[in-house]
Amino acid sequence: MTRTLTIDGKAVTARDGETVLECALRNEMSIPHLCTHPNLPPFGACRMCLVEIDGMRGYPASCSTPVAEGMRVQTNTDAVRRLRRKTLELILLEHPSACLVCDKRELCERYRPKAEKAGCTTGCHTCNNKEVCEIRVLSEQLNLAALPVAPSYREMPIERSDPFIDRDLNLCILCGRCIRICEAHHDEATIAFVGRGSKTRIGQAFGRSLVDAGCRFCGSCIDVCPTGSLSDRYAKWRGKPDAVVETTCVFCEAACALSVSSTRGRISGAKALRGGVPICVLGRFALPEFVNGVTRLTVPSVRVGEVLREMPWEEALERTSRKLKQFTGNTFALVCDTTSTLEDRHLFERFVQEVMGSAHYIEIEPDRRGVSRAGLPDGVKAALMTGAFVESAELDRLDFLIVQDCYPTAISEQADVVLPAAVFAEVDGTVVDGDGHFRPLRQAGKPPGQARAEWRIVTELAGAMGAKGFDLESATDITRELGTAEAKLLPERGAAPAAAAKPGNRRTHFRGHRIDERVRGVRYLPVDNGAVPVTAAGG
Amino acid sequence: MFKILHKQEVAPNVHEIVIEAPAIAKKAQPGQFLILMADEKSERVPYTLSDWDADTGAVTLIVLEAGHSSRKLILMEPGDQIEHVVGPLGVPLEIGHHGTVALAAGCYGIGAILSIARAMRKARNRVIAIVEARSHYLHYYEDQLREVSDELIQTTIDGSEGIKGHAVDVIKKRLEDGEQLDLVVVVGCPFMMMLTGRETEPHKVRTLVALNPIMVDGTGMCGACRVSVSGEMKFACVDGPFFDAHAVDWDELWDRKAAYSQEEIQSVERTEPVVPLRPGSRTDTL
Amino acid sequence: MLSKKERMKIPRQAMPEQAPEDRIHNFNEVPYGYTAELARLEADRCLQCNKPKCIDGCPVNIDIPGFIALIQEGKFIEAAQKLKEENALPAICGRVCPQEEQCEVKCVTGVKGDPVAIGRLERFAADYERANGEVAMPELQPKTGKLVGIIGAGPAGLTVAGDLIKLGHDVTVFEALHAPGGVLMYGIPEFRMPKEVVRAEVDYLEKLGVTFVMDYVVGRNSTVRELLDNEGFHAVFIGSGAGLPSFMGVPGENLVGVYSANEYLTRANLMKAYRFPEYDTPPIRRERVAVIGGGNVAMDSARTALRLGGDVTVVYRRAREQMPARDEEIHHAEEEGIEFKLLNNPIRILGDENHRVTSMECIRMELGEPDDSGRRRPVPVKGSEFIMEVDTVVVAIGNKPNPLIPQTMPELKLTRWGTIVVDEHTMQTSEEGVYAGGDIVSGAATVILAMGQGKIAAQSMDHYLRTGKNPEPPPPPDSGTPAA
Repeated sequence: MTRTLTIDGKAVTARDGETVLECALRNEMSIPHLCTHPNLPPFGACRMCLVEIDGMRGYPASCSTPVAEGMRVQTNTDAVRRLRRKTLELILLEHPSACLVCDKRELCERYRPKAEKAGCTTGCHTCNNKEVCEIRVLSEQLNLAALPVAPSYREMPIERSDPFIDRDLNLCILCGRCIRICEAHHDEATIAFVGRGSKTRIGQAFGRSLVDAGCRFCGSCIDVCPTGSLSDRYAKWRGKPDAVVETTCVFCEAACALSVSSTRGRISGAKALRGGVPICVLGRFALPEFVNGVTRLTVPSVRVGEVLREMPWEEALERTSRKLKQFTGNTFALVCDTTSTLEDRHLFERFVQEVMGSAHYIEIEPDRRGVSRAGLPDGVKAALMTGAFVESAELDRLDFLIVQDCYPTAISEQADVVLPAAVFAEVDGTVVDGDGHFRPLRQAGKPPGQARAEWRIVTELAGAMGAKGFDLESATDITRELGTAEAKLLPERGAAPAAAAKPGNRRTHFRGHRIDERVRGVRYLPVDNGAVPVTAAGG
Repeated sequence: MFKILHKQEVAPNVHEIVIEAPAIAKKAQPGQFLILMADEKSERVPYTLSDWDADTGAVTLIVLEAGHSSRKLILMEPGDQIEHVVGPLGVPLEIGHHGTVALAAGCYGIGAILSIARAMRKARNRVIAIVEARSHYLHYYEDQLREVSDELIQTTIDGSEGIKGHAVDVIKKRLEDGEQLDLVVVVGCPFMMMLTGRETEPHKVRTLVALNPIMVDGTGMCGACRVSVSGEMKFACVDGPFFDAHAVDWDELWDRKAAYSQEEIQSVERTEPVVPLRPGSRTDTL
Repeated sequence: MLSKKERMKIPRQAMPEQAPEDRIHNFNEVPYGYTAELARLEADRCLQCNKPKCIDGCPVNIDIPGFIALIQEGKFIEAAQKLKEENALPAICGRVCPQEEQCEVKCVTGVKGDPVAIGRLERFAADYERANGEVAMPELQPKTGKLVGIIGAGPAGLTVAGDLIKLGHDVTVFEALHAPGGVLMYGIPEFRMPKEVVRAEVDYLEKLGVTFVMDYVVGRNSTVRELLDNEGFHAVFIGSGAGLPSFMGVPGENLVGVYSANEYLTRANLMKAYRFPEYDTPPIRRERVAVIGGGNVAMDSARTALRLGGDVTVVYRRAREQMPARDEEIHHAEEEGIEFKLLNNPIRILGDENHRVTSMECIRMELGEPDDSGRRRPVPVKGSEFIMEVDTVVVAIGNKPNPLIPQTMPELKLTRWGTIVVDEHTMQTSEEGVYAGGDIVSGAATVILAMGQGKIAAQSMDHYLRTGKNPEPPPPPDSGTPAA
């Protein structure tokens, strides 16, 4: 059933169960609001979205007032504007607000770096959230020029005691979004309002740390925070990203849809594409640090004498192909795991069969912790491996080993050829989730140094070996060759992935690499014993 | 090794660090700076001296946490040892009899003008200290400055204490009202120093600013800190830190200060420590 | 025993080194050094002349045939000790001395063939001693109770310190930077002078009893006069180096991306920027680097830039023959793939709106008449200006003496270039009890020259400390003219 009402004199049609605010926003009419958020049920605490409605007393909050047939709403009267400004002024009395009323702000910001490195934010000037801050937007909308009385500073210590999340509660306006999203996403909220009156703050019961309080580190609280008080301790330094790409998480087969941001081509952050259901700590926090590690393999190298010598791709592939020609037939094996894209794996298989004439294409399905292990068939003398999937002792019987990976490992150190691979959000392609659905992987950032997509490495290696039929230009070409169904993102799922409900359920390995060796914060989280489900029961 | 004797957050993000460094305390003069390395792997970063005591051998710095190097310092505790402290460096500010001297300062500069004010007053100048902050809770050293200046003016950008506005607004008003200022010294962020220079220039008031470009050795050896003053190349570490505000190429200074912004962020994102809650801290006792 | 003929038949032994293709990707030292076998083979080439000329070529008068004879006998540790009688820092000299212009050029074996590789043998002996057990301690003379202050822990200062501590004086070395070694630490790259070698030589001096005070800036923490008058020092040696970089004076030199070689090298060497982010100082890692200059410092900068990953071009206004860099350094640079644009001179550096370098304008040069230095003066070719795309420019055209000490000691006599005036026989400055040596005296020169001056200074300081007087000047050269 639809209802018709007028907002600021314009007739609009409301959907069933819609609030006045939702209806206005959907009709592209703006009403300032703060405590409400698309991922959250109405709350009606901040009084920012006040409106006037004919026949209703006072100034109802549009976020919690359902629409009614024939309603006449005024969103922008002098009275509501004055009330909103008063509300904002009150909020700003406990938020470092001087920059908002500074007459030199524009000039100052022109000379300031885009990203700030200050530890403690005492104004917009050093706030990394300034470009996406909702308070700033409101203060502009409401022409805030001065504060009625002196503001106060709560003098809360900056909280840096937890992995992944930093808190500066001096910026907090107590809108409660973080607590509400935590309640909505998890059976039991980790955070709550603690203390009373002017001492009220966001925190954990009994002063525990987030880790001790059982935080799942889904990061949803950061995503809904309108200020800079909650921040992603890795991503915050880069300020507002200059590009955002929608892609799929490949840390596990839950294959959650991610929105991955980048600055100057470098991946800087990741979060759930839609915040309806939380994602796990790896998807939310581990990706940028994993792909940006300083020890990433960035240049091809080939063993010359005793040393692995770095050299240009062309030369490395040329030398590799020359040597590889000695190992055709079943003396060659290729070992990969399913964290490589479908396209990559298709080409790996073709390479093994068509170029090497071998039957040993070995594709490993990682276990529930992400560990991939395989043995080499008898008679194999040369191998290409995309990760450390084989016991080091097994390598002794190889005469020639090519490792194509993102980080050095015990086996890459023994390899004859090491080729730097682009992984995860650095490549395009398709992955298959635990239910067998195709999910798209889209490139969100540049691979480091000379690292390349794996399909491309294999195509060029095939080319160097003189093989025909490998002249593919893009991952899309291969997808077409594969003829798979269209890959679709999974933005909303019924149940949260198991690791989002309990970080102990997370994967510990990705592509043969221990994630905690690459992502510092993960070390602080426990790993549970026992079987690991893909999605939590119930959600 | 140099022991931290005392450390205190005198205003949010503004840390007073007192270090045992007798050789420095014995020689320090107003306007000079030190180069610190928290540990053997640190960068060499300059910090302006705030105060010192030749008798006890203690030197006081005001450190803003504004990146990886300063973060290392402010996370140290009294009793900890700073690996390297070098100084006093730079040409001291000329403390002569000038007449009326206005000292304008913001953020770390508020600490830096303490010793300048004291020396200027001792040299029989009338000292007006004008300190700016965004809000009242960001002011510090009020009592200390009042003691060493003839007039202390505090401004806040939000008007929550003292005069509403910036230090430069006070100087501008006084000059427009015909007050005679013989020398203006500005210590603070480059933005503030540039604005102040712009306002004093038409009144032909000599204005010195303490420039703080990136430095490496701090003794003239590397030239990282070069600045253009009246079109001439100067090294802030050995020719400065004080220069004529009206002759500095500010745009160049800005861009040179930002030379490593990307690397600096790379550094903080990789190294931000997980700092345990301290027993007794507010978050610990709730 | 080998006959002379047999000795002359042995070819000069090459030092094994990392292949250029490998070494451009790391900061490890380029030559591996001789093995014991190679060292003995090379040592066997020495004819043990009765009147060895090589010693004349050595600024510090090492008993070259003496230490080589010990290597011939396989007494490597003894060889190192022999070296240390005259040279406190053999591992350093073996690496950076221009032997081809000093000892080796005088070697008689070199008249018909290749000279004995004295430098490589020196390096071998010193490295062998360091790698194999305890470094032997020389006998120290009885304490004199005299205090010597040395300003600067570079090659000159370290030499003076080593000599005077052995002579029984108490020695304190003041260093402004946070690590001792001076140019060996901040200037010469790891791949040419491993910092571990410098550290070991300094440790040796510390074991002998030398006190090192880091982070101490003479001129700021104390003046030279205060050291003498208030702090109880009986004599002072100034070895503060040539610490002030020269720039070209062309437009655009303050752009972001233009560095003095000092800054560029200090970041990489002293601050270990190539190990960022383990070390906090960020490296200057760019795509296209131009290094201006033709000396050893230019070669060091260019090879450092290459290792940080970039295309590197050396731009030098004169011709190859006139490059002041050692042949070996130029050769290594060429081998590693550094491009040389000789007879070219930058006239302006251009940048973008953020003051970042985008390109450099150069002009071609041709050689004209010889100038004061006897080298043919380069003159610009009219209308030959061209633009080079670069994002980094390293200016390696030399250094001026650091003015900090002269400024705070106005009575000290200086040359018009700002270097300190000394009596070349004693290295005493215009002030009694104050000696100087190294680049603060000779302008930007070599490590060994600084060490040679350090040795002279140490001798005269010892004399002065014992007698209150400088030694008599040596007799005039044997030229037949009667003394005036």
